[in-house]
Parts: sequence; structure tokens; C-alpha cells
Amino acid sequence: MANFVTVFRLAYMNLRTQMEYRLSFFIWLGIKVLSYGSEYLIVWMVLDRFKGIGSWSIPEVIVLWAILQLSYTLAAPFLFHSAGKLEQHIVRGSLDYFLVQPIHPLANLIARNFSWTYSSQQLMSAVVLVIALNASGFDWSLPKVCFLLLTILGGISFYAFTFLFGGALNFRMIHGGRSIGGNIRWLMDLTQYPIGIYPKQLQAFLTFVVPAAMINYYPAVYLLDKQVELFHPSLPLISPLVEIALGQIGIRLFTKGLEWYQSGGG
Amino acid sequence: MIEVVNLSKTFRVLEGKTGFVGAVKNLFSRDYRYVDAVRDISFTVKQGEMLGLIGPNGAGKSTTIKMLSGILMPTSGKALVNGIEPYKNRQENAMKVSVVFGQRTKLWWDLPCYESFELHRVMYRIPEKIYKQNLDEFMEFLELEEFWSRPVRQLSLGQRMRAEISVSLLHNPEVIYLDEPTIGMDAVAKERIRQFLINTNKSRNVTLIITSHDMADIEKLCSRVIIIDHGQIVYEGDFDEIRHRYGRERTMVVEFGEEYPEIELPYGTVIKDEGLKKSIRFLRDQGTAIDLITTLGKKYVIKDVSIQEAEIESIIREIYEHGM
Ligand SMILES: Nc1ncnc2c1ncn2[C@@H]1O[C@H](COP(=O)(O)OP(=O)(O)O)[C@@H](O)[C@H]1O
Ligand SMILES: [Mg+2]
Repeated sequence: MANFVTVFRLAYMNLRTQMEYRLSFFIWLGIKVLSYGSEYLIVWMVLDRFKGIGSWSIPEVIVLWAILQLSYTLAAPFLFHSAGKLEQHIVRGSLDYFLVQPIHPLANLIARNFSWTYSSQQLMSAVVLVIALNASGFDWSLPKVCFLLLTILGGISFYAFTFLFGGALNFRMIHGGRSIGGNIRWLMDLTQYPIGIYPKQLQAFLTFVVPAAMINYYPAVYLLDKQVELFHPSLPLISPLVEIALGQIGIRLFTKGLEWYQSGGG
Repeated sequence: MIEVVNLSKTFRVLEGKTGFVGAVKNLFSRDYRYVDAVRDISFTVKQGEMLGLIGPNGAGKSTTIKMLSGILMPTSGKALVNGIEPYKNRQENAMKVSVVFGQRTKLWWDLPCYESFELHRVMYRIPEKIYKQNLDEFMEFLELEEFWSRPVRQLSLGQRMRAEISVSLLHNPEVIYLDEPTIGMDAVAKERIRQFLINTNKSRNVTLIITSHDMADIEKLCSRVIIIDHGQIVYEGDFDEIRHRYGRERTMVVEFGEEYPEIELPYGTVIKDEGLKKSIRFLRDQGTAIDLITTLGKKYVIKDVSIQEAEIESIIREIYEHGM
């Protein structure tokens, strides 16, 4: 309980710091709304020229895309700022202080670097997702809605994993952890389309090696009752669980990584 | 209270490459360099003691502090603080200790000073009564009001350290580690911090472990010192003992009112001649600084005099030369 209060306090102080630079805070927010809005527009326009991709209709492809975006924008404010700052915290030595404070260093790091500028994107993604689901004839039954929430949680966990993994590597070598963990943009570019259109090897890679397709593709197969060829029929249902497990592994790795932590010089 | 047994730390330094490809290569690289920062040190500290860790730059003082406070895992050996190994029980340890690094800040840079105090109250679950009692005391002694609602980034080094130490004592830690707390400060600010630390140690019976390469800090604060060099303990004992046995050399800088091509000294030698300003080195056994200056004053016009304290480096040199 006291830990929650501390985390909120940290996040609040962080917001106040960001408001200190009020102008840049709002400019940042504006830029994000604009760039994000135009991204939606482009995808919509491109898809509109085709009648869909493979057996997937346009709204269904947008569902894939919106799941990806929503989990990304929900994970980002917690993680990507922190991921970027972790290296700084190590070099400047503030991570040293986090290790002698009575809350988990991860909670400390995240709360201090929480980014408040993603709210507009989260809202947009959620709205687009609901519209696209409706247009795809989604059945808003309780089990499916629960599964949808689980899917989003799974997506967040996957992104969390990439950050935590990168962080653990940072402890090992200070520089470079982020460039390994953070390089996931290309994955998102691949998985925003139904992976059924790719060669089998690439599909296998996105399923078993870097399970990015489990964020959106497999859950969507269940959510939208798609009849597609799969490596295994259980994949759609277990996907969110695999992603959530991955997130847990990430936390373990990060905590383990703190044992490798060598601190900055000085 | 604090027990350190055969504690060692070896850093593994990767000759790192940058960029994505470089980072992947680093993962599999075996291109390491090893730095033995702390080698097999053992000592104990009693509750309420003020211990000074001194040594030249790179001796391993900070590394020792980081292991004792739980930031770093030792490579071998162990440290016990209040019965626990700090680096294995970080959060439990955190409630009972505090660390202050002179060159870093735990205060929130862009926010008013009081926000950081408030944060610590919440983070350490400090009861209202204790918080208020402590805060009142620090406010009075360290005059925090002066800059209480100013953003931390606007504070002077001395003011920041006053806030830094206050915040670190809010939760009544049993041990406080201070790594170069007075670095970069002017003499007045230093003195104020020292006085506060002495008082705190007396009134709260808190154990203090202080590193510094300023001998004056240690002389004023610590009854017992450990001298570290190249990661090893080269001396452990009373500060007076060091003064007595080592640091026999004194250097006096005399500024004369007129040019004297040659001066006659009762003892000592001129080691540096800058015209009006001359540095004279003598041994304490030969005579006192007062006698020297009185003798000189009879023959020459003297404008100013200062005495340089023995530097830690020269004491270590003497220890190596003469043994303990
Ligand atoms: N994080 C680190 N990685 C690699 N080497 C380090 C690190 N921290 C300290 N060292 C090295 O260990 C030695 C001791 O450093 P340190 O404990 O900081 O000395 P001091 O505080 O006495 O000046 C130095 O040679 C320093 O370069
Ligand atoms: Mg140091």
C-alpha cells in the first residue's frame, strides 16, 4: 500500500516536472496527436484501395493494427521513456540511489519517467479498435470481451518484455542494451498485416522465435472467428497467456540483471 | 554492527562497441578488462562510531561504500550491516541506512526543495511526529528555510548538500554513508556540514562512514581512520596516531614584503621559489611553524603565511617508506 502511494507520488512529481516546461509539454502533445492521426489516415487510405488482404477484410486488418497500437500506446508511457532514461540513470548514478530506497528499483524507474503525453493516442487507438471491431461484426459477448482485454494485457506484456530485456542487457554493458531491446519497430511493421500472407518461415519466426504475432494476429483469429491455417489450433487461445508469461520473465531478468549491475564510476 | 570480511570487488569492463550491430557483438564478446577495485579488506565498525575512509583517487573508497550500502554485489567476501547482507536484502537494508554521494543528487532537480522531503516522508513511511521533529531540527540547524521553496537546480553546492543530508536523515537511519560529502565546497560550507555531522552523530548515535580525500574532513570528524590504497587497507587506527607517526613534513608558504635573493633558515629548505612567495618544507621534529616564522620575522618583512597540511598522498608514501 505504502509502495503505491510512493509510486503515485513519484509519478505526480514527474508530471509537475514536465509541467515546469509547460510549453514543450503541450507542443509535444500536439505533435503526437497530429503525427498519430495522419498515420491512421494513411493506413486507411492504403487499405481502401484494396478490398482487403487475403481472407481479411479491411476492418479486420484495422483490428489487427489497432490492437498493436493500443497495447503499444498503453505500454509506451510506462516503458519507453524509462528505457531511454535507464542508461542515463546508470551513467549519472541515480540508479545507485534507487537501489538504496525502499521500493523496487523498477517501480522507481517507471514512476519517475512515466510519460503523460500518450493519452490522446491511447484514446484514438481505443476508439479505432471499437469501430473496427464493430465493422468486422465482432460479437460483444462476455467471454470475447474478457479475451479482448487479456489480449491487450498480453500486448503490453510483450512490449514490457522487450524493455526489461534491454534493461537487463544494459546492466551487463551499460551501452547498447537499449538498441537491442528497443529495436522493435520493424516487428510492428511486419505484424500490422495478417501474417498469413507471409512465407511459412517468416510466420514461424514471428510465432516461435519472436512471438510478435501473438500480440494481435492469433488473438484476432479467435476474436473474429477466422478460418485460417495455423501451426497449431490452440495458438489463438494461448497467445495472450504466452505474452503475459513473457512479461513475467522480463521482470525476472531485469531483477536478475541488477545483480550484474556495476554502477557508474566516481 | 558493521562487519566486513575479506570483501573484494573486481569490475569487468567491456571494451564496448556502439550501435545495434556493436551491441549484439558485445553480447558475445569476451574482450574484457578486469579492474581489482577492492581487494580482500576486513574491518568492523561499532554503533555510533565515525569512521573515515581515506585514500587517493581510484583507491576503492566509493566501491567499498557501494558494497556496504547494498548498491554493488561483492565479487567475494561479505559485509554484514545490522546482521544482514545489504546487497542481498536491498529493500530491508534501505529502511535502516542512508547514502549521500557528494557529486550526485537524490533531490528532484526541477522541483522546489520541499517536494523531495515530502517524497521521502512517503517513501520511508515516516510517522508524522518523527518527521516533524526531525524537520524542525534540520530547519533550525541548517537553515533550510533560506531555499525551502526554490527549485533544487538553483541551489548552491553547500545549500544542496544541507538539503541532501537532511533528507537522508529523515527516516532515522542507523548508518549513514557519505562519499566525498564536501567535495567542491568552500571552507565555510564545509565547516557547517562538518559541525552538523558531529552533532548528529552525538545526538542520534548514528554510525557514520565517510570517505574523503580532504584530510581536514577526516581530522575534524573521525576518531578512527582506514587508509585505502590500490584497493587494500594500508593503515587502520587512530587519526592522532597518523599525525604522530606520519605527516612529519610540513610545508609553509611565506609571502615576503621585499625581494630577498637568499634567505637564511633556522631549519627546513626552500622547495619552491616564486620571487616574493617561497615554499619552505621542514620536519615537525626540527621545530614548530611558529618558531620558524618568528625567527624569519626578525630578519625579513613578511606579508602573509599559510601552512599546507600533509596530503594524503604524502602520508601514504611515508607509510610505504617507513612501514607502520
Ligand atoms: N563501474 C565501474 N566499472 C569499472 N571500473 C570501475 C567502476 N567503478 C570504479 N571502477 C574502478 O575501480 C577503481 C576504484 O574506484 P573507486 O572506488 O571509485 O575509487 P575512489 O572512490 O577511491 O576514488 C578505479 O580504478 C576505478 O576506475
Ligand atoms: Mg570516489
